[in-house]
Amino acid sequence: MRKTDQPGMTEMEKHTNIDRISNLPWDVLDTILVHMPLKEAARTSLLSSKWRYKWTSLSQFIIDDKCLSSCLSDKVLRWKEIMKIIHQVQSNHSGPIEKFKLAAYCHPIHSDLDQWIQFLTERGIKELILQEFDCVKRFKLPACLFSCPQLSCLELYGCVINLSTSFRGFNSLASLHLAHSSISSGTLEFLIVNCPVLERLTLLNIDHSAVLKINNLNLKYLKIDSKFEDICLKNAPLLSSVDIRLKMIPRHPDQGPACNLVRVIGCLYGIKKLILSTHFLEFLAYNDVPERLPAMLDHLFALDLREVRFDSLKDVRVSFSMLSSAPNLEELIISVSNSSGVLNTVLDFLRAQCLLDTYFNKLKVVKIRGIWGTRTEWEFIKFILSHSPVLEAMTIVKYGGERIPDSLFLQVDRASDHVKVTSLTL
Amino acid sequence: MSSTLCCSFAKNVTLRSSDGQTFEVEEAAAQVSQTIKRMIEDGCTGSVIPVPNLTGPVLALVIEYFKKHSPPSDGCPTALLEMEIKDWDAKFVAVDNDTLLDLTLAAHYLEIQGLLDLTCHRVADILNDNSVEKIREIFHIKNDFTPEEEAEERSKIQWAFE
Repeated sequence: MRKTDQPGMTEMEKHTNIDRISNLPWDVLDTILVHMPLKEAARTSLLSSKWRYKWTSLSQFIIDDKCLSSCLSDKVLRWKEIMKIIHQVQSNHSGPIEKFKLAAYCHPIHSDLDQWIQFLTERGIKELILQEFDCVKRFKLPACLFSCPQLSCLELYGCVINLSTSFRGFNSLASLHLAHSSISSGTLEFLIVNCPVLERLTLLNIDHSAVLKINNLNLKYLKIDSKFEDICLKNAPLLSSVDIRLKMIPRHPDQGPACNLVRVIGCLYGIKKLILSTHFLEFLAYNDVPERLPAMLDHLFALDLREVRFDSLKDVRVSFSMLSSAPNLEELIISVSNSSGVLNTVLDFLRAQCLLDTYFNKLKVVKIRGIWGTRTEWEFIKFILSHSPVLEAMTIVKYGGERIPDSLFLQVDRASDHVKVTSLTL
Repeated sequence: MSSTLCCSFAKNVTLRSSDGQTFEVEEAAAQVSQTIKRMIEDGCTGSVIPVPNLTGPVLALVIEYFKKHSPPSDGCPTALLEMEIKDWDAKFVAVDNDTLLDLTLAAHYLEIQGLLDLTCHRVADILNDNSVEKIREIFHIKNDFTPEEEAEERSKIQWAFE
């Protein structure tokens, strides 16, 4: 407790010339130092002998490009520099390490990384993040990582994932992010099933083409940019944000009598934000696409469809089926694939849609990117303008050539009195 | 439990600093501190809650923070309100370094996570923005290294100076 029996002195005067910061409780100092880049935190070791090992004892370490000299371009030498930092930490650290993040351009030596991850698991690591690095061969993760029940965030790049027999599930894992990694279909399924509190799942460029069965009751966010054989999202009631980009159409996209759209998207009752891209739209179009989904996606407010092919009736039908199933949609973003053909069946389909009395009563913002100026695209623009009574802004970006003149938009029947149309060209 | 009751009259508690100053504050606001929240919930507070680690002027500041950060009575905080609080926070920790350390310790003792993050961030910014020599001067840290020792320490973390 501080002395208070010195009348007449202000708080400030009492502390004058006393070094208080060096004697702060360790967890306060830790909180201060982990708010600083590692490089700056390391510099505090020069302040006085009390500070010598403070930075090496922190609970979090983030090694990024700022820790390395910008003149050092050789990625093997850059890893050597990183290992110097890691050795300093290893030789002086005694407490827990909660977070480690590697986000530097380098070429890790697998045995070094293996040994460091073992050290981190012994220190009770909760967040392990390995971001993009240079690797010719995938790094085989040490088995000990899979017996860390306290892990809450795992992000891996360029790894081979084999679950060891000691794997008892990641009971605390809330976020899993796998990129450019090798994991078999069965292992991936087993891993995901055994993350009971998972909230965020990201899969980017997975080597094998897996059947993705995602039944995580707590899952809120899903992003996939990879190849896969099939996907099932049946038991993820909290899923609110989904972003799926399929690298290539699976060998057997035709998975049963039901339409893939109904089977995969139709059960996302809580979905709020949906991003889907071209190959996945084609996958969803397998087997008769219904005019709308059996159950409405009442919560969907943002729909982003990437590289839609306006010369493919499948793509267009899937897009319309989704639009018709989203009565509360507020924002629609569509980018057009670089195909410029016009299919009469698509044109007829779009003209028929224009006559329907489906209205988007909440739609406020529409962005259509990368159009080529075809008749089908124009029919689509007309459809949106004539069926969106509260539309506020429509932005159209055309690739090359003249932008669509404003006079043309004035001739179109608009449902909204106050829509502002912005027509641009790249 | 009192924290879950919803009544039309706000219930107040009295906090007493190490130097005997007393402050009255709404119970809901004081519960921004996990330490005080636990004391109230355990019912071991009597009429006055002692806060022996804080002097009057520091406790007065902490109470200002409580008032600004007490949960809004009418449901969820709006984005506008959050922005206003963020601005207020930034001004709140723009104080002299001694007061900043007082607030940091107060946040630690009273387990006020938001205030601890705020003050630690501010201290971290000061450490970030200044040279080793300047930091020693600002926080009155006595350099007890010999020139040789300091040179040796510097060579160990050469990477941090490139």
